[in-house]
Amino acid sequence: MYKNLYIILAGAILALSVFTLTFSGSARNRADFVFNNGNEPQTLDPQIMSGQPEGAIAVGIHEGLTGYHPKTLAPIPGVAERWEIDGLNYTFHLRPDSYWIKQGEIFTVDGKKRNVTAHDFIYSWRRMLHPETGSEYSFLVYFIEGCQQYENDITKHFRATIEKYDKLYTEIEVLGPESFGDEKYKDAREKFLKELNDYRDQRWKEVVKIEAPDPLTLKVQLRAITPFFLEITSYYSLNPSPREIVEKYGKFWTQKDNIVTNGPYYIDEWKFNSYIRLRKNKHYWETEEYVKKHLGEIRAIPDEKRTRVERDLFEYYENAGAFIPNGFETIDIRAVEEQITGMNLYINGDVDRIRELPTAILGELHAYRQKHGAESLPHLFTGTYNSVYYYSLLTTLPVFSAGENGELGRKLRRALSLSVDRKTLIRLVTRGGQRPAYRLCPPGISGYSEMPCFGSGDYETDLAEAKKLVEEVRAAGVKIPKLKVLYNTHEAHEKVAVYIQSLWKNHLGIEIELANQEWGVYLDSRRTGNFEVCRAGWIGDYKDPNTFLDMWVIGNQNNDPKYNNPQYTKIINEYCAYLSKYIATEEDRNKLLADIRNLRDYEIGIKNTPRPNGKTLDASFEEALTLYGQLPKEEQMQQLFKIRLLLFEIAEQVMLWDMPLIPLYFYTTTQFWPPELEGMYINSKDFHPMKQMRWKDGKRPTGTRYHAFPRLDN
Amino acid sequence: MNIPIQTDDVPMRKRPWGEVPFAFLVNLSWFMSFIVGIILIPIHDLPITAWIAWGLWFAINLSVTLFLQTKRMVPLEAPVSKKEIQGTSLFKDAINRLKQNQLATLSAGVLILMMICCFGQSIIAKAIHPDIDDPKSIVALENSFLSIHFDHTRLNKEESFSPPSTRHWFGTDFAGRDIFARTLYGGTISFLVALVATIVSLIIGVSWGAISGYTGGKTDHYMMRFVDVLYGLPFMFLIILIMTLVNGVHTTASQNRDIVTQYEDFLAEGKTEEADKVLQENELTTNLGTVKAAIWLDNNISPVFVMFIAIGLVSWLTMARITRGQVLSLKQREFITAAKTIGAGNMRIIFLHIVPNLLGPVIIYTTLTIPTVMLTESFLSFLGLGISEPQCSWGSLASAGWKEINVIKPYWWLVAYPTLAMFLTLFSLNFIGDGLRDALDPKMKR
Amino acid sequence: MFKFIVFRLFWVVVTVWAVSTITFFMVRAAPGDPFMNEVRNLKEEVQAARKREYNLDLPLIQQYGLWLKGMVQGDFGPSMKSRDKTVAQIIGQAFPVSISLGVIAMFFAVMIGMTTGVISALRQNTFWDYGLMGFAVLGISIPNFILATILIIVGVFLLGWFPLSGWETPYHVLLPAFALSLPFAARISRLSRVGMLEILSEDFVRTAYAKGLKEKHVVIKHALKGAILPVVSYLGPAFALILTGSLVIEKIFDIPGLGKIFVLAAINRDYYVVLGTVVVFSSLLCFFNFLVDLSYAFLDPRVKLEEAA
Repeated sequence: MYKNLYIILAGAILALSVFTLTFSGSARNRADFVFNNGNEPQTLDPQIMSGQPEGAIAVGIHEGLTGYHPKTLAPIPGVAERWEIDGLNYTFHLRPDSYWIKQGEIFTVDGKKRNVTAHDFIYSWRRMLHPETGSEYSFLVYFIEGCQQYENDITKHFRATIEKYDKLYTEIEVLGPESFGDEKYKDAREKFLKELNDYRDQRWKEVVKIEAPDPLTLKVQLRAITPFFLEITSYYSLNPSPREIVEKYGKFWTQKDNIVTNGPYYIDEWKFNSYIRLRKNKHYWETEEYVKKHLGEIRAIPDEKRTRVERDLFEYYENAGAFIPNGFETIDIRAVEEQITGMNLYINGDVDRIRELPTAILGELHAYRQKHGAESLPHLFTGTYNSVYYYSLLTTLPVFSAGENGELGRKLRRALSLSVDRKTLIRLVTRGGQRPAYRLCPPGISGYSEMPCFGSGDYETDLAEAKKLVEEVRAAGVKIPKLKVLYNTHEAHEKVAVYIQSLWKNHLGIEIELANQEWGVYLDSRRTGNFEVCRAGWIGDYKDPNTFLDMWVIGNQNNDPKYNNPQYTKIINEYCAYLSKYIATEEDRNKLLADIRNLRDYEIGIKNTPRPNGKTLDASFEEALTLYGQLPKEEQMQQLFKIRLLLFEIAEQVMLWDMPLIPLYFYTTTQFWPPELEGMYINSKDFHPMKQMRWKDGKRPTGTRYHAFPRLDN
Repeated sequence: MNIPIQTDDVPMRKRPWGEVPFAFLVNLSWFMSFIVGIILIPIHDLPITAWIAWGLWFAINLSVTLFLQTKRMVPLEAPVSKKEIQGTSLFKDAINRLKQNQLATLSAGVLILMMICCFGQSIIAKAIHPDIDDPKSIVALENSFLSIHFDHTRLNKEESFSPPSTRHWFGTDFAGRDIFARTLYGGTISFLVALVATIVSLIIGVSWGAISGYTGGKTDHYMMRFVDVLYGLPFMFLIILIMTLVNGVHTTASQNRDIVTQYEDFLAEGKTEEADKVLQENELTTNLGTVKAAIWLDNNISPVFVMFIAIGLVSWLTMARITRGQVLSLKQREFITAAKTIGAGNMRIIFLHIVPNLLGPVIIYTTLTIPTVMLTESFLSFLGLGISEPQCSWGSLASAGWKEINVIKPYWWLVAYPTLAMFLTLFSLNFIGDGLRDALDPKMKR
Repeated sequence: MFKFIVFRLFWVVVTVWAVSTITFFMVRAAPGDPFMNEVRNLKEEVQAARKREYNLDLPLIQQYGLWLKGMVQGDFGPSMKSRDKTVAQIIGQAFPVSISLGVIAMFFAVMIGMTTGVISALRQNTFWDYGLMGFAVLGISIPNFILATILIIVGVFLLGWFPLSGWETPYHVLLPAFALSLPFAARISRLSRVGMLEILSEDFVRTAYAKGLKEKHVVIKHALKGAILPVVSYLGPAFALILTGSLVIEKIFDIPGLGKIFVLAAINRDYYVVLGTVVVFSSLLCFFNFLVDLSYAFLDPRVKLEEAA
């Protein structure tokens, strides 16, 4: 009778039941700290990770030999309690109470508590070099003697062995847990693995200079001078992975139910594409007693005698206290992709930190801040970032290599660089308070010059010179064709390209065509040299000029402009890497100086470059070399580092004299977090370890933050 | 209603407002003054003279309306007119009924006005900036009135993100482009998309339904079964995949075009090793065939065109069903039997006799498809798969503007005006469609 | 009856198979491969190893065969972007989210739509009618992301009743489902109004009123059916459109559903995820259409099952 009503009722009941079932059993309270990571992490396997979102999580759940000081990024003890450095030899002493944690409890193997040992590090670093792991950061381990050689050898062997077994079996997925259960292939698989591993073990023993005399000691010999090696041991790629778990679960070992970590936090919940909840690891070693004891030890040493590390640690513990009682109990990591939504979430109070701000608003915020001072926007934190935005110019292009020895091409490239009004570019186009780049290495490397390598400091003068250079090129009969500028599809890059297009056309009369490609295709074009002018950006992996300058040597796979300068290559690959060999005796030093002074265009391009110490580059270099000879042995190492930096400066000057690329600006990072958050600082790597973060007075600010943001009418 | 009012001389009746002469124009004028008023409000530096002018317009509307109200009393006409009784056809009847539907006529007027504005902007822009369609042409900074307000590619970084003002009536976007000009240009593109997609769906749907319905029997059964199967597909996903595919083809083509021409030049000159070297350097040895296919496709078919067709393909199914239903009922009519008796072939009957009689429902359905098409296009733009810069449509303008909305500094004008334009257009189309349906279907109690 | 069910289910399977095959070859035809988005240039050997891992070095037909075999057994394949998850896991977590969003949105749409449609029909040509129908036209003239934004501004910022995004408490469902349902509520409203009016003009309704039956009785017992029928036949395409609308809504409200996953996977060329979601969606859709056709037979005995097929 009332059939129709029954139907409606049935529909209502169905809907209601669906509704209530949706959230059965998840009564969630808000975490102590919520931050927006931007993207869902692709993987949490330390050796495979790459990218900012993954790194932001890695600092919380994994811990390597050393960690980063949150403000200065200097190395502080992690799993390694202390270490000794003797030339190229590093000895790390691991602490005995850094345990592997599974779902909040100490991971046990055969009933025994499993702590992190030196063997874990060896296992992890070794697997970075194996091609089937698929690590992108294996080059970080090349600094250790023998690793690159090892990788080359086993890669060749791997390919050969696979081909051999492919001919016998076509469906076997080698090294994956799936084929474990398949009886048919069991024998073949075991034979394959044995052959592979035997060879690998053999090569490892022969070539690689890493050893673990006992489970808590790790000895490493470096290949060349690497003053930043401890920065590398802090990098997430070198964090340890638990061998038993990786071998048991294969590539699924990082799933929430399987993963075993050793950091201050562990993964409590993981809702894909929604949030990851981290919980405090109550078995972590940084307890109240530990900190008290440690602080006491450091206090006993007089201030002048303290090492850099001890000083940093002291300040760190004074500010943050111990992790176990004071750290956040839970942290939520969300993956909201759109920057605008992220910002709205922050202002609404749902999220306590965002890493990226939408470009449209960025300019307004920076302009407002500049006008009214930093206190007017207490939630905004900004600082330079260890990365540079530049345009690559394909040096093999006819117009870029015209003239005798490519001299006319060089002039053209220089003109293109000088004619860009970087200040206006930053003010009107990128609007993020970035810093104009008149050199390639970003500021922030201590001891390294931050002064420009080219340009007079005044745009009008630069522009006049650029025009003059172009006239010279044209007068010599070189026809400048229409150049194609390539960039990856993104609004920000498009705006920059459009601006530069108008500059080059209006001031230099050079026609530009814009081309944009999807990220993957664009990377491909860059790699294969399929461009004429191409936009690029590079983030330094560590704070040393090497990470920015070693790309331009001949043969490097990241040398997009195909810069071909054997002198430059020699400086980077030989002098800087094996410097002690080249300055051992006075004769060596004189030879080095003479070689440097023989560089092409040294007199006009490099010699008189000004430095922050008031002297020219040439004078500083000579002085440093002389000083080295006069110093006693203990102090020579420091001087060697200084000479090394000077050599990098010279190399950079050489490169920028040729201008195979046009540095445009240094990135800044601008983020939002509440002023009540302590232990959080802007730093140039944008790495923010989580264990020292606290709320002021232990109270989390609640409610909307809308009132803290003024109306930006400026 | 015809209420005879007893007066001394001639009996009078009060005719409805819609019958008053110029009612349509007055309606339109009222509506436009409303819209213009809404547009004027956010312009913060509007001089008082503009408001005075608007007030004047308002006053004129009011006085004309009041005046025409007096003209509503007309003599009651004799039931039998002096003229011959003229027969009316279905069409004439329909058109009369439509004319009386004030909402529909007003909507038609608004729509036509909108189209005039949009196409007018295109003409003006092309006239003052001849190479406007060349995406690589650099825009010089003109400052004439026409250029500022009607050139949709004119950009000026200094003026980016400025709110509505007398200089830019609808504000500017991130590059300093005038939103007013962009909205009008977007209208042109939106109308174009709607037109092409609808025509595609019309052609396929009507033919399919007509042939299926007329043929009947097994053919009809299978053809409709096919439609049912397609009904079950998640079309949007396929469209998304198609558009991603098209984008990919476009990028491969633009990346490799020069290399392939170089390769072929070498071949033509007989330098085979050089040709092979070119291939090897660019890693094209194995997939030269696919790359060549991609280049050919990209040269001959533009991505936007594919989008038109893809959207059209989604909407032909319902058209086919409606057509089939109509054809089934038409099939039984006498004039068809007559034609068959004469010996007309099937195809001739279908396309010469049946299709013209389908016009009614088809037109109605078309006016209801166009909104769907425009909304689909805005959906694709939102996902990043629609019209690409520097072209724009209402959908892509609205979604690009949406992406800039934030709580601190809401650039509302980026979203509001394109949405308003789209809203007015779709609103009008809906009422026109409803009006047509009522006009052609007298049974409805409305 | 039984024959009908079996026949229709068979067609469901065939359709899903056809759709997935078309998708498979279409997705593979798009240039670019899943590893092109890596930040640093992957070494050749690493690329080769990854390709082997995902069977990408086998001929296309063989890959298709392997994938099909896996599908039948329930193995949707691995995800190439999230290396430690299988597609089945990803879809498994996201599926209930999308389903609940869709069902609740459908419920809202039908409830709101039918209520307003019936009221409009009963109070024809009054203020109610014009007002409600005016709102209905609004619902289909504005893109749904704009509607959603307006709802957010009102519901979250002005009133503060609803949370902004996410999917954690029951409150998180209401606003997205409502935003998703509005365009469909609008259409359903118009459909039920028209259907209702048709029935109301029938003779037997006039007879019922003449007999002295109250309006409520007439409406619920007789006229409502006229309002329900056109809505039911619209439910099929509506469900498909709700699924596609959820792509936008999930993006706006940051809901971890299948739509978000599909779009990301299409951009990242994560083949197996794309295929998995397409298969799931088309199965849902076909099955739902089948249910709708079945219910048609129950609701209107005049309709024979073959006609509904």
